[in-house]
Amino acid sequence: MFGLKGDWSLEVKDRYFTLEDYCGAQPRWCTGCGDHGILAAVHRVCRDAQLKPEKTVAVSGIGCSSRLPHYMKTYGFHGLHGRALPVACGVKSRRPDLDVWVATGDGDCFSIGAAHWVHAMRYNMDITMLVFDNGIYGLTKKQTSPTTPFDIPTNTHPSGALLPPLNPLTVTLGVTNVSFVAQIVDWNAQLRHQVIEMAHKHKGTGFVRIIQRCPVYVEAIGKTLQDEPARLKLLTHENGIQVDDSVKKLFPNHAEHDPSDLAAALTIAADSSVLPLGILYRNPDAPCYDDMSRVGMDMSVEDRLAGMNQALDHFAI
Amino acid sequence: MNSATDRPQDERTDVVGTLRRFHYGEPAATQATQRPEGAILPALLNPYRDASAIRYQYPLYLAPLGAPEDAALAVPLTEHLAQGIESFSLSPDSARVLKDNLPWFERYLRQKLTGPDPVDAPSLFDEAANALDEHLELDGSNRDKLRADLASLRAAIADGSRFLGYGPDAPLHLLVHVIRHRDLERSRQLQRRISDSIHRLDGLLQIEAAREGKAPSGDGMTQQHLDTARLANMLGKRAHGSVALSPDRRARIENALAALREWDDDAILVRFVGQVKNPWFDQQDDVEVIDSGEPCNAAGELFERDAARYTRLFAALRIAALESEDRYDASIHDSWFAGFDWQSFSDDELQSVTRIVALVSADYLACDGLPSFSRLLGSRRPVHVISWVRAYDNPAVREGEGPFDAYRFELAYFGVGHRQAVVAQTSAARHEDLLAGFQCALAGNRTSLHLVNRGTQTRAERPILDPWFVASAALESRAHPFLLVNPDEGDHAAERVSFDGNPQNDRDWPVETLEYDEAGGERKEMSVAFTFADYALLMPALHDHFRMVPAGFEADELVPVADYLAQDEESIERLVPFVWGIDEEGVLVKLAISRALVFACRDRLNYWHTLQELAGVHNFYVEAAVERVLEDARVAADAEREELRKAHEEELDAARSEAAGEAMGQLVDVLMGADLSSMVGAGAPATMPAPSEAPAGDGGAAPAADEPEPEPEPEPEEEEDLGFDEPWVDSAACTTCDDCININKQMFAYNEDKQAYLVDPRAGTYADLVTAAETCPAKCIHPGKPLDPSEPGLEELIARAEPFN
Repeated sequence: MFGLKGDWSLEVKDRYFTLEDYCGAQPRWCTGCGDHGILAAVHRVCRDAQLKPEKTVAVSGIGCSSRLPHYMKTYGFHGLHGRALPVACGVKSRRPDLDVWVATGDGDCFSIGAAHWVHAMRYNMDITMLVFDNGIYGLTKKQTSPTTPFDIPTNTHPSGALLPPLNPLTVTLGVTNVSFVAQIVDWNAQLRHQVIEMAHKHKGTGFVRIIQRCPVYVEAIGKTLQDEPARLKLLTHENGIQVDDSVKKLFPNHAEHDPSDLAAALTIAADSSVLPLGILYRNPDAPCYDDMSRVGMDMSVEDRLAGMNQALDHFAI
Repeated sequence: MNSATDRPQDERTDVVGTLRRFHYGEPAATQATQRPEGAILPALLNPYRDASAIRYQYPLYLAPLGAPEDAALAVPLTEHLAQGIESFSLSPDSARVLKDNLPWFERYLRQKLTGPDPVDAPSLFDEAANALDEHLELDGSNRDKLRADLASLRAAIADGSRFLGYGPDAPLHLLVHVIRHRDLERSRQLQRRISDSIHRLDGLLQIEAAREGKAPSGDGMTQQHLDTARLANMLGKRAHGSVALSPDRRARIENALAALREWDDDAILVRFVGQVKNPWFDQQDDVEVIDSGEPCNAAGELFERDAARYTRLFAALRIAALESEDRYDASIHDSWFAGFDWQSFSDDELQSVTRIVALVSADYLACDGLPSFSRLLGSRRPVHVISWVRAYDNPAVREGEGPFDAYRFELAYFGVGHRQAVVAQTSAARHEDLLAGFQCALAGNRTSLHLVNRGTQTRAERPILDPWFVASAALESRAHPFLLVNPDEGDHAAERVSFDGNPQNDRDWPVETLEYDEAGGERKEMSVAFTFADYALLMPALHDHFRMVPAGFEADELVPVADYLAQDEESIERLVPFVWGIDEEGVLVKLAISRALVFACRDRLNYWHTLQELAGVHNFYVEAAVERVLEDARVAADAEREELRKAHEEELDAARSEAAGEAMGQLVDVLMGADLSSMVGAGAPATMPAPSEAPAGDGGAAPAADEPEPEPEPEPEEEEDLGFDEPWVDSAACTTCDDCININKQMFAYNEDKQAYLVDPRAGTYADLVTAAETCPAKCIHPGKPLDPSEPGLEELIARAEPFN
């Protein structure tokens, strides 16, 4: 109307944040570690969304990945091994106004934290969950993790991992009320940024498994996938990710996949011959536990007392 | 919004009845119903309550004098800044901080541009740039980058350019702006032509004086090198130049010279006749403001006065041109110059005459000033009339009358009736339409009429909506439609009339989507027509024509006014028309409207249809002709179909009887003991071949012929070799792993998105580049060819670089 163009709104924010406003300490990750790129993507998404640093919190467990809160100039919680999700869910439950990011790893999340992982997916609280999956315990110097590929030698299994790796995608997709499941590799910036941004915008738990290089202990994992892109399959869709031709060229194996189709997502995830990249599943309408747990938070002390008295009156004789 | 009501039937009937009685003007019902109060807006306009948060067409960037001819004279600030950024920010991620904060920057400028007059653009830009710098409080590198980007953007703000906010005088400022661009250079050229003519005529007289020995033979340099007296007499009487001037010619030359020397250029480009309250115009050297109670007459007289001055000047210039080439022929030219007046001016000469602009109120034009106005429109004088029009009002209304008591006097249509004047009905909110009207009038040499709506609101304690939006609403609601009639384009309306400035000009009313929240919070949409009644709701003085429908009340009798107007008289008897409004709390409400307002809507619609027809939109004659042609074609097609059907049936009958005859013959043959083997292959009727049977004559090759020709295999395209000699980094692909930075911090750095780029390939060795390319996990470093041919081990390095180029 009125011949106004699409960008007619002049919304002005009081404060403006640059990338540096989210950059904390100098990262200590090894040279060539995929974590650097993930951190940069998180910084960019925070900057693009102009999140207030004081209203943002990064929560982690234990592991290389879990150093992320140190490198964010926001609030952070570097917690116990495997317990990033309960802490994050607790933060979100009592402070729904905060933007909560979870940094966890394949060992932290899929092993010791597996129980929390399953239930957090079901709670579907509005948080962004990044699983830095390098297929190894790197911080403790090369022990087999749940996603270490078969036959890869480690300090705990010098002749190679004995079992086929856990498939985190099928597990996650199998959890009731799951709402967002995606997978990316750390070495493609466009894909990485787009998926993390979508996970952040998603209302609910945005689960992103990031296949990430550890050049020190298991260089072969990342190198094999980089050298053989045919082992990866890029999933695109108008409701999923849309990448330009330059990215598609890097992934000769790509397919259209509707992220609202859970059955198709499970089929794709179960195919161990290729690793799907992109959004596997997204359901923006799944209920979020924090929407329920926040009820009554805006009540005054007087109202709470009155409510409690009213409840207790039922037992009055 | 409540979608249902559980009121009892009687109560519902009462509410509808009361609203209907209000609609028909019953005083008791008017008293019993609630008039809208507070800042109720037409529902479609609710998003525009806070104009400071909206990018609309104003402020404008006004190009300085001397700007390239193809440059737009006025561009919306938003557009100009965006174009400025595009000119130096080549990738989407560059100038990030500036782009992210452009809304803040724009808003700052907008807040500073609330005055009525243009402001020097470079200085205000600098002020806004400093303010943004202070507001953001960036750290070192970001601050430097922002400053550099602001400096680049500053290059788009030319010296002498101005910003113009939306105010009551914006149309006049734009007119002066256009006149300066059109006429300043022309005025200078005229001055040069006068000087040149004086010089030529003077030369003629000097030679004559020298020939007679009366004048000095020159002075200064001329005297040193040239003796004009001797020169004049040297050639004797044979030479043309030495022929004495005849007394008539001499007198003519002297008269022309006197006229040229007497010419007093007052440097005025435009004279405004009428009331201009803004002192800015009086302060301009090239603008004159002449107060007058009768602007139409005064403007005409002023033009005649100016034209008389110019008549003497242009006659002198023409005589000078003829005399300097000795082409003046008294038998022809004497009579021509005797009758020379402004109507003899060439188009170019007329363009040089000072512009006269009469500023007249619409009320005066439609009432007391009507005769003088009409005389001016028919006078052929290139005088321009500008009138501010209140789109809700009838300019012909007398004291004590309401705006809807009579059909509205249409000044534009009155102007069109004079046939030879340029008529522009425009909105100040649409600078492009406004400028088009001004340009059109100034380029031609006709009288012109400009009816401009500026978005005036009635008796508002405080404006409910910014005037720009009110003016836009007048355009949208057909209260003040856009119309430009330029007789210079031809004699036919189709050539003269421009109508494209109207939104959705093929509809009765523009239809927009209204988004609203249901009581349960669910987002809903509905299509709503924006009518004259919606526009009237913007005018507090017209609120007597509206009554609030009780919250949540629903009834079949309540219909949107656009639907009401589309129905015939009989079916609307029981209906009550309403418009959608939204109050300050954001609650969607219905407002029943009076019958007087409905009549006004019909009047607007009638005028709109007239204009549509004038512009060739929904032209009755054309549509009737199209319908007639279609009907003729339909009848012809039906007749042809019928004929074909009959022919087909006849053919079928013939084939059937032939086949029946053959079958009967064969049956007789069989029954008579003929050779039964003859039935094989011959028994089937000729008209029904077996599906697999090949058509006769095809020799069995037909099926193959039906198959599509196999497409020739496309030649595999050879991938273009994209190798470059220059090293480069594909920054978008960088994964921020720090590897290249760790190799050479002078060579590689991070951009605003923390992705690597090549700062200086000469800041390190080719070996650094190759090693970085090998290390880069994203393979986004391309080392190119070595820049230093003396670097050791190049052969091996080039081989290593090969896979990355």
